Amino acid sequence: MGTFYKHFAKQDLFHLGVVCAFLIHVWAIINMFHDIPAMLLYMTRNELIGSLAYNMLFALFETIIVFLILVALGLILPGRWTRSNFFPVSCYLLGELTIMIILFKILGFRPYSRALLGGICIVVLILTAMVVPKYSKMSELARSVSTRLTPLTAMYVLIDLAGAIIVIARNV
Amino acid sequence: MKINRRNFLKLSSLIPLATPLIGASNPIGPSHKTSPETPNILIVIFDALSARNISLYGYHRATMPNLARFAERATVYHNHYSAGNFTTVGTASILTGTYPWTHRAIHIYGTTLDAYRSRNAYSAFGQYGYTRAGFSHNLLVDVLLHHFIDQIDEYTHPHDVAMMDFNISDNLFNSDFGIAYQSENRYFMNRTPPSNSIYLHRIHSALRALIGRIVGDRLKQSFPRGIPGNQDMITPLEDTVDWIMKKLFQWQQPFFSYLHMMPPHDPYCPRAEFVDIFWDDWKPIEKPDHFFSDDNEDQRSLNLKRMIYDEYIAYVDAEFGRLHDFMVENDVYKNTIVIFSSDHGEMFERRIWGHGGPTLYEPVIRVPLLISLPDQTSRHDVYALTSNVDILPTLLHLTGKSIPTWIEGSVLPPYTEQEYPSDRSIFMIQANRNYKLKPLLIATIAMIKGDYKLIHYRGYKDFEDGFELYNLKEDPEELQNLYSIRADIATAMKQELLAKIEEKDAPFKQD
Repeated sequence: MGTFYKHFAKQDLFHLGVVCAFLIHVWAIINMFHDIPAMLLYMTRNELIGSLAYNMLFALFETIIVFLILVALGLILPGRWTRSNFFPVSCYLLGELTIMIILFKILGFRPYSRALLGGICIVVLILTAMVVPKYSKMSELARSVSTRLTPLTAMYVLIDLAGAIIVIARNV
Repeated sequence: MKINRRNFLKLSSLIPLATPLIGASNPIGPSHKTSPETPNILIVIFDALSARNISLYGYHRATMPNLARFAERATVYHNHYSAGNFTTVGTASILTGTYPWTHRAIHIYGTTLDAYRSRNAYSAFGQYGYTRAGFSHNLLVDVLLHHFIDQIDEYTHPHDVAMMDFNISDNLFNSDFGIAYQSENRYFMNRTPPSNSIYLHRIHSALRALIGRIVGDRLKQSFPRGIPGNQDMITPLEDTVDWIMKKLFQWQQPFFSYLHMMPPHDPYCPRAEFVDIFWDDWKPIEKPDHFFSDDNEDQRSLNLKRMIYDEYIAYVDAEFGRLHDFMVENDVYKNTIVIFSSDHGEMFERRIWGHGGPTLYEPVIRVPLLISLPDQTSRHDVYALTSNVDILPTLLHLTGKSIPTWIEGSVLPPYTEQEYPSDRSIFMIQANRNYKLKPLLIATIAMIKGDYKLIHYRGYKDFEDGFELYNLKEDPEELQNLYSIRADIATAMKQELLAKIEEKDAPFKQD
């Protein structure tokens, strides 16, 4: 445990969790609403609620997985560095990576474009990892944004838990 | 009385000898539990198998020689049609004996109306003491089977037969499979529009690719075009056929068993010995584009896909031949009605590939049907117009059971005592853009009567409602639209079709 808290401040883990949950849930919910008209063609109300419940449960599961992967990466890096930089760097990297993946999904680039764009993305991510630790304002900004996102994200998590209950009820 | 370990081991060695006495398993050969009134019923479905690509039906490529061997002891239906052009619709019509506008399983992940949970082949045969079994590679069929699950005695999960299964729903959420599977598909699968997942979809894809590559490398020599499978499962047909052979003597007899195999549905992955066997100069007739043609398709690529599809059919045929030989050697045919068919066909023309789209041309709706009765040793050929809604009433008739009034199909010739009507109309419906419980406003509906086929398009955006009429006898390739030329036939058929649509829409109209 001592090693763990050598790497991470509790508050940082919390804020990172908020950022993970927010990014993943926003995309999942946007797509969920996109799917609803097609689902309404043939689902009953209960089936629709069930489908939405599964969606939120999967989003919660994805949040936990991504969060644990980030924490695992943080444990590999030197404790002194992660303690002060882990949260802001992870936050910005996660945000940029999310935007990149979404753009790739939506715009669907051709293979040769993908390779070039992939290379550019990697460069951007590396630069971010190098630049963010140098400026404390960036870290403050990340924490500030995360704090503001907390109530909304808490609502998403509550909906996830409601979804989990619905999924359990549907499978019992 | 206490039994010590030594005595227990002595006694347990006698168990195999005692098995026939306790009736624990069914003996090979004719079962004492079947009778002429209660033969076993085995329905074998191969997904997306078009009659137009089968050598038995005149296709010039020798795709199914083993099916021809089975045909020597079966009734072969030469003008048999699925009521829909994708799995859910076609399968629901087979299992309920009703048309899509009645059972309403008209969407990809759709299920029938609740009334049909107890109005289907499983419920019909269950009341006569049949053991009812169901299995499918195709998870869309599993959605239907789960819908009927209360009526199924022995349901086999696809993952029980698959080599690998990356699906979560059939492992974790089996009680709610239909909704769970759709949700899983939306969340994790790459599709248009994009999946609901940002990261997990990528991790899932990477794991699938990695494991698929490991398995693929092992099987690469056997399957150079790729490992058979779909919907995140690896399902070599050999394993499934082996499983069927085993189950034929494990199912309590008499059994009613519906078995739905994925091949030759894409991806087309024939076994090595079938690769390039149809590399020839043959080119099918090039047909005109349609409003629903795909701009990304051209005839050259369709010809290549068709060739590989034919190879895949040959692989299917080889495995079916193996099953057929097994059934011959073990006297399965003595007390079993065996049905071979498909849920829908596949298109490789008019720059349209596949199935499930808004068109209902012959390749995607004309499917094989062969029925072999117990102890049948000769072939019969039927050229009358038949539909897959006829399979269920025919089976009930053959087993001496009454046919419920909710069934829309007819008893097939030559089994019907009454004269089979030559002016019978059959229907095919594609309506997956409609609400399940509302009138069919956006649909393609086809009607075949005698030699003529009328196709009606309605409600599509940017495509004017209209009709096409073809004489299938003189123009089997559907090249000449006779709608304005044969106004007499067109008008009569149009009136009948529109009246039928009106009749079927009536229960779903709200005042």
